[in-house]
Amino acid sequence: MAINDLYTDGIAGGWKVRDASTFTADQVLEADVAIVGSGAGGGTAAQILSAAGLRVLILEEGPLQTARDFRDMNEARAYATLYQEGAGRSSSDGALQILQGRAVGGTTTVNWTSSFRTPPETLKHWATRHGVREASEQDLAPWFQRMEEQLGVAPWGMPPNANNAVLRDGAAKLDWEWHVIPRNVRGCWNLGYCGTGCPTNAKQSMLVTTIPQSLRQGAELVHHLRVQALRFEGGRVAGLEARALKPDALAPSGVRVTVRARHYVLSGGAINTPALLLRSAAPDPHGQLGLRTCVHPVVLSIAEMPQKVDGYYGAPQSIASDHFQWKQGATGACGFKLEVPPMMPALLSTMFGRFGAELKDEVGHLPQLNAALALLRDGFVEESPGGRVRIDDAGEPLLDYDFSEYLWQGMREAYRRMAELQFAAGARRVRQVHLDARWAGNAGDALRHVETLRMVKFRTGLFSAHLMGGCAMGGDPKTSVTDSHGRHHQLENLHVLDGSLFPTSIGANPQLSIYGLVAKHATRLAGELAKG
Amino acid sequence: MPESSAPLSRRSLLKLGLAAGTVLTVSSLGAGLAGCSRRDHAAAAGLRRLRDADVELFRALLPVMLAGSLPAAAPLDGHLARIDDAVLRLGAPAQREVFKLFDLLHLRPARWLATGIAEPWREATPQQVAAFLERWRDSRVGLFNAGYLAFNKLCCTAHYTQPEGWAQMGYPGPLAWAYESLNR
Repeated sequence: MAINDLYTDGIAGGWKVRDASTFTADQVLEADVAIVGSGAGGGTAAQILSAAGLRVLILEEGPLQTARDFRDMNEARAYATLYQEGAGRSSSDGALQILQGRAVGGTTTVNWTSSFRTPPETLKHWATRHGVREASEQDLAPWFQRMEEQLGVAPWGMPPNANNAVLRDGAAKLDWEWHVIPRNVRGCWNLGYCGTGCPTNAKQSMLVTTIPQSLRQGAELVHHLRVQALRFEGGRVAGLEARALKPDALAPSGVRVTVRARHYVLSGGAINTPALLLRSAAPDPHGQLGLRTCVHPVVLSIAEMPQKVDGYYGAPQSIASDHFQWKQGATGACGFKLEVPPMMPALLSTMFGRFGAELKDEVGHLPQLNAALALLRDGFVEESPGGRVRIDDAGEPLLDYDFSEYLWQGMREAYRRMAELQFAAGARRVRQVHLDARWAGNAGDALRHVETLRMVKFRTGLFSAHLMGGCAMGGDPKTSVTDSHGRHHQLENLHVLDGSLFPTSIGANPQLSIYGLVAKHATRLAGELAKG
Repeated sequence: MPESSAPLSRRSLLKLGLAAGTVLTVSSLGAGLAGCSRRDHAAAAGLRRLRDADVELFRALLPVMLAGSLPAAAPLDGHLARIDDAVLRLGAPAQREVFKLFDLLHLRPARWLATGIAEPWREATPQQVAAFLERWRDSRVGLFNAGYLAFNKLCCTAHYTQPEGWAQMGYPGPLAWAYESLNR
C-alpha cells in the first residue's frame, strides 16, 4: 500500500519547494516574512502568516524527508538524517544526551506524539514570576483548541501497548493519578515508529499539516539552507546571511544566500535560536540571551516483566502520571511527570552502561523489558535556573547545564517511585539507568539500593528530548529577551516563535504548548503586518 | 611495563582526575606536537573522520565492548564505518571533545597513565582492554566515566542498529505485515 507522501504531488502541482544543495550560484531571496526553522513553531507561524496573504519564506537547514523515506522504520537511518548531530547532541560536557529533530517539520517529524496543554500551574507561575501577560489558561484555551482540532489531538483510543500498560497498572495498583495521553494522530496504524518518522502520515506533524498548508497558500520552503547570521541596520533586522548545505546536510556547499524580508521570525528551537542571535551579536543589553534553557532532565528505570512486553511496537506513549508533578506546588520539591519511552533496540542498548558478556545478557531480555521515565520540571526555583546556551569561537552552539542538589533529589525520588511502580505492576526485577545500578528483585531492595546511587553527572543516565527557553518572553526587558507576544525587546521587526520563548520548562511534553502559544502570537503578528 | 607497576591505584586516578583538564590539554598539545592532531592527519582509507590510529583503537575496543556478540575474527569494517559516520555527524564542539579523547589514548605516556596500557592498541590484549574499560566505568572520576560512556554508545549503536544485533536482543524488526504493506 503506497502512502502518498504529499510532497511529490504538491511539488508537481506547483508548490515552491527548493533544495539549496542544488543551488549553483549565490542568490538573494525576498519575502514579506522569513521564518528560520520549520518545526512546531515555524510550521505553525508559516501557516498563519501565509493564510493572511503574506509572502512567507521558510528556511530549514535539515533535509526534506517524507513518508516515502520512513518506510524502513529504521533507527540508524532516522538518527543519521532526522536528528540534530545524528542523535549525538549533548550538553557541552557530554553528561546530558539530547534528542532533537533536524529536518523539515523539526522535532515534530520524530517526536512521540504526546500532546498536552500547558499546565495551568505553569502559566500562573509565568504570570507571577516572569511577568508574562495574556497567557492565562483562559487566554490560551481557544488557541490550544484550534491546534488540537487541526492536528487531530485526542486521547489515544486504542488500548495502550504492554509497555504503557505497566505504567497504567502500577499507578492503578498504588492509587496514583494516571491518564491517557492525547496524541496528534489521524488514522494511526499503532506501529510504534513515531521516532523514526511516521511511515503512514498518521502523525499530524508539521511535515504533513502546517507546512503543506502553507505551501498551498503560496509560501516557499527552502531546505538544506543554514542561516548563519542576522544583519542589523538602525535597530532593525536588515537581512539574513545563509549558507547552502551539501546533499548530506552537513558541510556548506560554498553557495551563499542572502534573505531580505519586512519581518523575521526565529523558530530554530531552543539551543539553535539563541545561538543564532548570539552568533549575530544581536542586542542583549541585559545579558539574557541563552539563559534559563530548560531541558526536562529525564532519568529512567528498567524493569524485567514476567510477560512479553514488545515495547518497540505500538503507540510509544499513551499513558502518563502526574501524581508527583505538583505535590508541593510549582515551587516545592522538584516535580516530575512519569511516562515510558519506546523500547527501540539501539536506544535501549546504550542505557545499561555494561560491556561484553554483561551487556549481551542485559540487552538479550529486550522483549520482556519495560522502561519508565521521569521528566523533571526544571526552571521553577532559584536552585534550578536551567542551563545556558553559548557559542564557541566559530559560532557553534553549546549548552552548559548543571544539576543542583534540588534536581538530584528529584531524580533520586523519581528512581524510588519508578521502582515502586514497576514492582506494583508485577516486575520481576528493576534497575536504574545509572552506572552504579544493579538489579533488585523486590521493591524494598530497590529502594535501599537507590539510596546508594551516586547522583552525579555521567554515573546518572541523563536525557532530554524537550529543549525550552533561552529567549524567554516576559514583561521586563531586564529579565527577558522578547515581550509577552514573542517580539524581540530591542529589534522591532523580529519575533521568536518557538520553544525558546518559555521562561521555564512546561511540566509536560512541550509540542502543544509551542503550537498554541505560537498560533496566538503569529495571529497577532499577522494582524500587525497586514495593517502596516 | 609489567601490569603491577602501572600507576592505577584509586588514589592516583583521583589525582589524575583533579588534574584531568590539564592532562587533556597537555595530551592534546603533545599529540599536536607529535603530528597526531586531527587537522594534520588524514582520515583512514574509506572513512571520513576516523584516522588510522582511531581505527586501531576501535579494533581493540569493539571485540571487548561487544564480546560474545561479535563472531570471532569479525571484519569490523561495517562497525568502523558506522562509528565514523556517527562522529562525522556530531557538531564541531562535540567532535573536538571526541578527538581530545582519542588523542589522549594515542599518546603513549598519557595512555599508560590513564588506562594502564603502554602497548600500542593493536598489541593490547582483550584482558588489558577489559581492565581499562572497567576502570573507566567504575572510576570516581567523571571524566573517565564520560570517556567510557562515549565508547560504549559508539560501539553499541554501531552494533544494535543492525539486524545481527537485533537478533541478539530478540527484536524481530519492524512489524512484518506493516513493513510488507508499506514497501510493496
